[in-house]
Amino acid sequence: MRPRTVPLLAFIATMVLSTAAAWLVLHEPPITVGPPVRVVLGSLATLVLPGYACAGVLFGPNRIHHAERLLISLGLSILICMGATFVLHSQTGGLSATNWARLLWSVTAVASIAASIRSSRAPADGPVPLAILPAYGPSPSRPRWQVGLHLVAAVAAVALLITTVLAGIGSAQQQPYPGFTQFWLLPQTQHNATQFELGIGNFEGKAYTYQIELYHNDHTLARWSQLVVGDTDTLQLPFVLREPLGTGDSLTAVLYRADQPTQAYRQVRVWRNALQAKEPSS
Amino acid sequence: MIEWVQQQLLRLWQPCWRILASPHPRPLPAATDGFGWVAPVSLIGVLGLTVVVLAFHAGRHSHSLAPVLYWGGLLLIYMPLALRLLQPATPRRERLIVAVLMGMLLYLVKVLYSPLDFRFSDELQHWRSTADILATERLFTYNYILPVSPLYPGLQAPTVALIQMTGLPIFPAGVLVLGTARLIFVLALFHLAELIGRDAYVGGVAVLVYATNPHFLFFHSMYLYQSMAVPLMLLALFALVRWEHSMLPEQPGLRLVAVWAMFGVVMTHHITSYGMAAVLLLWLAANLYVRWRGTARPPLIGWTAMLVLVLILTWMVYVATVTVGYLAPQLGRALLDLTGLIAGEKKTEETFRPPSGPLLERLISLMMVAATLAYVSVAAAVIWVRQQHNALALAVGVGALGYFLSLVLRFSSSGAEMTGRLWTFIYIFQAIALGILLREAWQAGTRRFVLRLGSGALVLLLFLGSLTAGWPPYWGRLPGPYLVSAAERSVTPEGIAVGQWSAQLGRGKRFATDFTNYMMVGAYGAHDPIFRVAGLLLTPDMGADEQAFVRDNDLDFVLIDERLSTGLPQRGYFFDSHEPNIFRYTEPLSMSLLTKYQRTPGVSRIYDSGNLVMYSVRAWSENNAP
Repeated sequence: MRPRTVPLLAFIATMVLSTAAAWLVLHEPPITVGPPVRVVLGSLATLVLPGYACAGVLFGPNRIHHAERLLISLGLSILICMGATFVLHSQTGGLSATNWARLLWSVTAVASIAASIRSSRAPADGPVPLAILPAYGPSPSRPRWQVGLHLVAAVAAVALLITTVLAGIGSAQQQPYPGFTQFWLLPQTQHNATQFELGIGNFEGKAYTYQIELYHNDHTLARWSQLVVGDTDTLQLPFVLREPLGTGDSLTAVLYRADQPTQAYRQVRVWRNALQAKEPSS
Repeated sequence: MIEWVQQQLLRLWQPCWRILASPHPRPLPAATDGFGWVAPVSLIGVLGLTVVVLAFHAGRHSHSLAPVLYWGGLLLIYMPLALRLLQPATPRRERLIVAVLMGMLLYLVKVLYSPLDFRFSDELQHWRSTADILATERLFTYNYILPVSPLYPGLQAPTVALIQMTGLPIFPAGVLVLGTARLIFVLALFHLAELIGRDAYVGGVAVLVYATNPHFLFFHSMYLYQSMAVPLMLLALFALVRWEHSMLPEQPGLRLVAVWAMFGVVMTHHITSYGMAAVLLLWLAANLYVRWRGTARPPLIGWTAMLVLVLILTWMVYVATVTVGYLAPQLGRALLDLTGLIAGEKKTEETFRPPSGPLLERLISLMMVAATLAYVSVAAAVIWVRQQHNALALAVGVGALGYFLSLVLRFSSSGAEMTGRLWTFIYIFQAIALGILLREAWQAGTRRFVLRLGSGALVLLLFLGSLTAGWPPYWGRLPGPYLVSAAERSVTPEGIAVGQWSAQLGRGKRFATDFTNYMMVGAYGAHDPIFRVAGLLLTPDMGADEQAFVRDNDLDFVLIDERLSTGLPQRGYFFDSHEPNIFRYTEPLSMSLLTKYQRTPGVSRIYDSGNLVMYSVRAWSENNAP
């Protein structure tokens, strides 16, 4: 089995694809492209093309087999990303999207040019690189109907694989979990002891109407009703006390769901200095 | 009876002896290079994946058929592909594609277990490192839930690059990066084994046997640094072996790939880099032996072993200084346990924790270990006798015997983890060794029927054993409803939501909570949760001792999962492995214990989502509240 010459066209395609991927990161595209295009191009430009171009520089045509080239291309792409992190880490812009796009494009472009030159100078048919492996003869030819059947099987396998992956994702999205509602009460800032925030996050699977009762010690302070919160939505209710909570004082908030108006659904309570803490580290 | 056993053993030994003594090996059936039966076999493999997805769906809906579908689906993926790889007449191209397909389909099993987010605790630790790099656009940020992770950024580098180039979130980017790593793994292992065994048959068998590593299906597919480092290690080894057999024009390129990949391993995962150094030293020793015997003149690869050692030490001294402190306690404890056992100062029941699970599964695991010991012993002997000129094969034979060492380590208190880590490397040797053994068996003229049946039955047993002995354990093999303290089965949308909600409290808050929510607030909230929390969370009341505990540990919040009162912990503990009653719980935690905080004046209950309740304890501990 002899490896075939790596066509020059492949390196030109490599440069074009890499340029397109970098362009989508660095500039507004001249035509509207959907996220899938950026995902496909970006994945190729990160995980395949830099290594493929570098493999073209390191190994001329005929020197390694296709599977070996694939292996080295993928490996080098990952390794280029690893090396690039240190370069970008030491630069002012850091590991930003623009820096990544510029660096990966530069590596791919330079390597593609070098690989093109090398491949054009290489002899048309070099020696078989590895003599230690046995020589493999061609497979016996098959009847045409069998080839057709195999082709159908291959197409069916790809179709089934795509369907299976999509079905698997769909199944996880529809996994039945008990719905829940988040309810919180937080001082808005640590410095102003009179400003608070009540919050509701609805993850019940459908919109709900809520009601909140707020107590200062045992006295009703405020009431909010007909609070409609859509599924996966949140609602924040800031409020201000006339004076900070004193020693022994607490604020209690009780949440009711409109379909069970007499049953406390969630309850939170804060005492003074509820969020006394060190300053956030960032 | 003894006589009968002796006779049977003698009968079993006869084929082995025939392999060892065969003076004129016959060539394998003529090898070709076509696609063979790759399309129909692929279709069957993909069908197996479909059945596994059905099993996951059934598991999510608590359907009783789920386990049957799961086992059936996995066997449908593995066995047809394995049988094609075990056939000596399979064309090389088909063999390579089938090997790749096996690796990728088994990777998809793990991906489709949880196709929306990372659920395994190790994955969440590395998720945090990736999120930190994205947030700061700098390397070497501090990750409290796994401090050593940011110091080995080899996994995060391609993930962050992919995220920045595509705009994808961390999860899908991680899945794509690890898919690429898996492809590298399979291709590198196939080619490496093919070069060592000098036959594509050995390459194919190596992949199918490595797939029986108990950690291959899930652990090696997780978003963690080892999953990236091991493929790079194999790439480096492949490039070195290929260099040894190559002509001048491609040698500089292969050397560059090898050195670069070695550097990649060193900056990706500590233990894999040590494993790589050990493999290179073993290979060097084998080369020296072959030279000494005068059967061949393999090149000395001492420079590579030296280079790896220098790279490892440089990285440890200048970047990852905490690695020693991270690994030394585990290794030290294991050595102390083993020396204690040998000296009779400790009893086995003090250090060894027997495997749990259904009886049949434990039986299969034991049979898998016995079968592995048997084939490793025979393969090592066959390689020693028949491959004296092949230094790499000799290294493989000796390395495969490391399986015995791994089983000895199993008797230490951290044995399960140490054994698992060691198997990552030993299985490479084992896989190639079994490939060489089977190839030699075919060449020695062993009966085809016996070989086909025997090798098929062996890989079936190894694969079943890898499932019963691997992770997840029996209770977590299928996705499904919440289970108490059950790692990934305890991760629910409510837990993820509290982690994400807690991010608004500001980074780096100190939390006391259970193991699952430790990961939630540590990863999604970027907080600094602590372990060893029994002194606060398992006491019946909130008094002076608890106040001192909060102050001493600089705690801000306590996050309580009230579902801990609904069942026994699957992992043997509720909060962390330092609990006094670990593996001895006979009843769930009482609700009174879990709600003691709301009875304590000054402890603010700031968050409530039904099952999860968050309390603020700092002001209470410092007597600033009420």
